[in-house]
Amino acid sequence: MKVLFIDDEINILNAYKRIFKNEKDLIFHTAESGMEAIKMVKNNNYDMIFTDYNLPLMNGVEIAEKFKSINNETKLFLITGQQIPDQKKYFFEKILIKPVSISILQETIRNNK
Amino acid sequence: MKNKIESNQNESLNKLFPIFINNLESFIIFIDNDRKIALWNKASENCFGIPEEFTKGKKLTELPLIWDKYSIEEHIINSQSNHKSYQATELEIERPDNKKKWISIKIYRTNIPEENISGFFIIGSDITEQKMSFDHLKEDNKFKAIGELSAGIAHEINSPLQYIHNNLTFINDVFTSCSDLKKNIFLLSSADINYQASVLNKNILELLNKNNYDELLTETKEAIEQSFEGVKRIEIIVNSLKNYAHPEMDAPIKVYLKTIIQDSINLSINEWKYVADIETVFPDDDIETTGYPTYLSQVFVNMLINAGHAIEELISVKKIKRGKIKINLESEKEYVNITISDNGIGMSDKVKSRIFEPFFTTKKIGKGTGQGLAIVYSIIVNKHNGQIFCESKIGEGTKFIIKLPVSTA
Repeated sequence: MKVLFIDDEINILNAYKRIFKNEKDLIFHTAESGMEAIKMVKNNNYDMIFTDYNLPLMNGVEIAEKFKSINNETKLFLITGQQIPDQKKYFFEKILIKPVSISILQETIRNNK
Repeated sequence: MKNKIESNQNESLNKLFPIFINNLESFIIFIDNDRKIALWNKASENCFGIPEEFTKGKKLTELPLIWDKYSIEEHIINSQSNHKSYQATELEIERPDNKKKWISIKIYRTNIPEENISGFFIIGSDITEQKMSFDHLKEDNKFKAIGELSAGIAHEINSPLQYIHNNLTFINDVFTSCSDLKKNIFLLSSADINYQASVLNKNILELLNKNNYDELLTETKEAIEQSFEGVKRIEIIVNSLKNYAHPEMDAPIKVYLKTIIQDSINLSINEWKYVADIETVFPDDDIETTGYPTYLSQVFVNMLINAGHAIEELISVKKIKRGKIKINLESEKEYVNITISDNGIGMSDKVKSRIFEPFFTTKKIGKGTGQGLAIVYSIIVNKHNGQIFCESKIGEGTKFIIKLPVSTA
């Protein structure tokens, strides 16, 4: 199971890393921007990608659109505290409300294995 | 003799009448029964931006104005059937030079056969200034400003909340595993049967194998430090909101400009952080003056958002990758000077000359209401007896200079 988390807040990525580092069968990658993430998506076959909405230059929805054109198999999840218009939710399996608890993230990962 | 004087006077009055009409502040328009314009005074020229000679023999609906033509016609018909004056307030018009105006009119059906007058007098006034007055704008804008910012503020608070939440989960896991270890060690110290001791020893070894406690403790320390950092960030934003959400004040109070500007930076950060860096030059001591903290915060938040938009536009035409916003605060005799500059898209002299006009905007639909700088102007000039100037060059950036008197009371 390979997952990618995208957030421009390094402390958030650090916190996820701490939790998921010791999780069995989980390869955990992080990216701080859409640009960085797109490079990683081209070189890795991710099962799931979790992205923030508010990101530099490209927002979470724009990033998701790019991902879908690269690999349509990857399941995408948006983590945001913002209201997202319905038509933009289309790319995502699920919208997770920020702040999202670790147990919900773990459950989401488990259920989508 | 007396009659002679009176008739002379009447003649003089008749001569004076056109001068009188043209000096009136209200606009007076007369249209005949065919709806053709027969009188168009100076105030009409000023209000509608159309010279008299252009209107002769034309119908109102033929004038190059953008307005609700049908409702005007309806008003005229109404005045006809009512046989009395008919009033219409707050009609919106756009003049040939694209300026927007608001007018109120009264229509009088006039029929004096012996003088050969039959038609409609339309008398009205330009109420744009009242409509644009500070009080009128401010309520509207206050909600918009809070609305615009709130998504950004929510994001700025949600991010630290997210990692504080995660870190607490991690710390809790470490705590549970440390408690287990401690419990086993404690039992071991009081165990007297060999069998019991060997089970406990096995438990302890298992825990030590499973967890790298040195690493866990280092990580816990980091998790705690980063959480403190997050709490501090939330604290800063919530504190910054205090000035912004200051209860409405009728009279000016003591304000601290360095604090207000710093707070405005904190609150608006989400609106420009992806496109610009900020550079501030502040004096060591805060500058105290009197004024309205909410309004001043609104000014700076507005200007920071504008600067961000200007930079974003220059980035979108691929001229730069990232911009810079500079804020300078210094006191100079009776004035405090605040300059806010950006190296964004800039504007032409033509645009620059109109930026403080209400509802003037060059931004895309949904990005600006054209009220921001009109409010800024009103707050600085009317509310604080200050001054505001703008320098700008296309492709190079814009600089706003605000001068506030040290004591504005």
